[in-house]
Order: sequence, then structure tokens, then C-alpha cells
Amino acid sequence: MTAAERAGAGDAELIGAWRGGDEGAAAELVRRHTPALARFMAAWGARGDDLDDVVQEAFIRAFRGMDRFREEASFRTWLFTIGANVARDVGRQSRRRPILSLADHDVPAAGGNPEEHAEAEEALHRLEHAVEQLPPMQRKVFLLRAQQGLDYEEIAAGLKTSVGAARVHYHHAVKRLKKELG
Amino acid sequence: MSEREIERLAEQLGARRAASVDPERMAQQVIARLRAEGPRARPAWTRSTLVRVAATVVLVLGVAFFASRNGSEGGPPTTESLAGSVQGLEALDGLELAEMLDSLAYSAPVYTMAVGLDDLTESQLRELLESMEG
Repeated sequence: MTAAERAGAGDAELIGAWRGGDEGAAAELVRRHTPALARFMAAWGARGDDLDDVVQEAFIRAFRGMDRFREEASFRTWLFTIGANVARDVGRQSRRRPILSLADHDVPAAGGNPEEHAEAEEALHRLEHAVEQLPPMQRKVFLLRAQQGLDYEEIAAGLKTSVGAARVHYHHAVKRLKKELG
Repeated sequence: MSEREIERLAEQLGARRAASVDPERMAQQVIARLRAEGPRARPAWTRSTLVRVAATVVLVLGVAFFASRNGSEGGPPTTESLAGSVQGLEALDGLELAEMLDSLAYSAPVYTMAVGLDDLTESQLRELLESMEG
């Protein structure tokens, strides 16, 4: 498979090529899914240099475990679930929550008014903190739905649950966030 | 904060920090680790090829062993002695196995070099057994 063919290929084709020994296909999968996976992991709580490490670890686990990928959900959704497991394992090892610094905060897109900008930044920071307090399943469902824009069918397939259960987790997550954020 | 506002803000979660992760660099790092971590991370075809090569080597060495035993002592080999040879082979990697084969310079029937027992015809099997009996 040439570089141009890889760029135009779907995930399933790239996975097939990787299984056939095409290293370039694996590289293309990484390039393609790094931005979304990094956003997911950052929202989960990974900070600074840790973010690079956990994203890398998620990809490594995905390629090692490719035989277990059944294509019930998309490769990207499967990656997110692996990413959540990596974050859980890293959290267990460090036995502490990551410390937020001012440089770590995400700055929301806002207008030129400094006051509005500061308010939006504060709101995003509070949401970030509140999301990190959610139980793992609610956090997964909330991020997959609200941050990544996945539909409930895809979320349910990725998390091996029912569509109804995914909806309930999302409802509880939003309820909890509303309460937390006032 | 309303549900709508929460969802609007959630779209921005992690965006700035994620922008610092370079996809090209990540691809290079992941590929380097997959290479460095060896067989566990290799695609299935590589593992199955190695298994096939190892099985063929065991078959060839078994034939060589039978032939040499029969030539020097006239008696059949024991199960224990064959098991010991196979266990020793498991510790070798592909290159070491190839070097060992070269060093044996054994002229086994050609088909034993490339196929398994299941692939042999009845006459080929008979020929193989006869060569093992000396």
C-alpha cells in the first residue's frame, strides 16, 4: 500500500494492512486518530508530558490487542475505551490526582472582551474539574457524547452496553455536572 | 449552568492541551516501540511464519537424529532424547535456527524442508519412514 493509498483508505483497510505486516498502515492509523484521542485523554485528566505518554500507551495496547478488535464499534471508539483503561491504570500507579497548573488549563474560544474571556475560562476550568469527579462510566459516556459527538448506538457498542443504559449514564452525568456547576 | 451550555463547553475540553501532541511524532514513537518490543507486537503473519519454520526445523532435525542414531548404534531413539532436542530448539531465535541448519549440512529428502507431515503423499511418507529406518 502506498502512502497515498493509505491516506485514502478506511480504518478497516488499514487494520487489514497492518495485520498483513504493513507498518505504514499502523503509522497512518496513529496520525489519523492522535488528535481525537489526545483531546479525550486530556479531558480525562492527563496533563503535560503525561498526555504524550498515555496517548502512546493507548496506541501500543491497541496494536498489541488488535486481535480482540471485533469492529462492533469504530476503531476510534475502541481506542477511547483503551485510553480510559490506560488513564485508570496510570491513576492507580500514581495514587494521586494530577495537579492542575494555570498553564494546563484549556482556554475557551471567546470574544475580545477580557471580562467575557475570563468568565468563559473560569467556566471551562470548573467543568473540567467537575468532569474529572464523575464516576468512570458516566465520564466515558459524557465525553464520548458531548466532547466527541458520538451517537448513543456507537457509544453503546464501544462500551459494550445497551443504548438505554448509555442514555441513563449520560443523563446522570449531566444532572451531576449541573448540580456541581450551579 | 444549563445542559446546553455544558455541552457547548464540553466540545472545547482538552483542545488546547491536545494541540501540543504532534501526530507525526506520535506515529514515529509508536512504530519505534512496536519494533523494539518484538514478537508480541508483531503482526500475526510474522508469528505464524516463525512457527512454521520452527516446525519444519524440528521435523528435519528429527529425521537427522533418527538417521544418525540408526547409523551409529543401530537402535531406535527414545522419546526422552527427542523431547530434549525439541526443548533445546525452543530457546533459539530464527537466525540461530538457520545457522544451526547450515551447520548440520544434512541432506534430508527435499520435501521435508518445506512441508509438514500432513502435506506428504503416502509414497513420500513411506520413503521418509524408510530413510528413518536406515
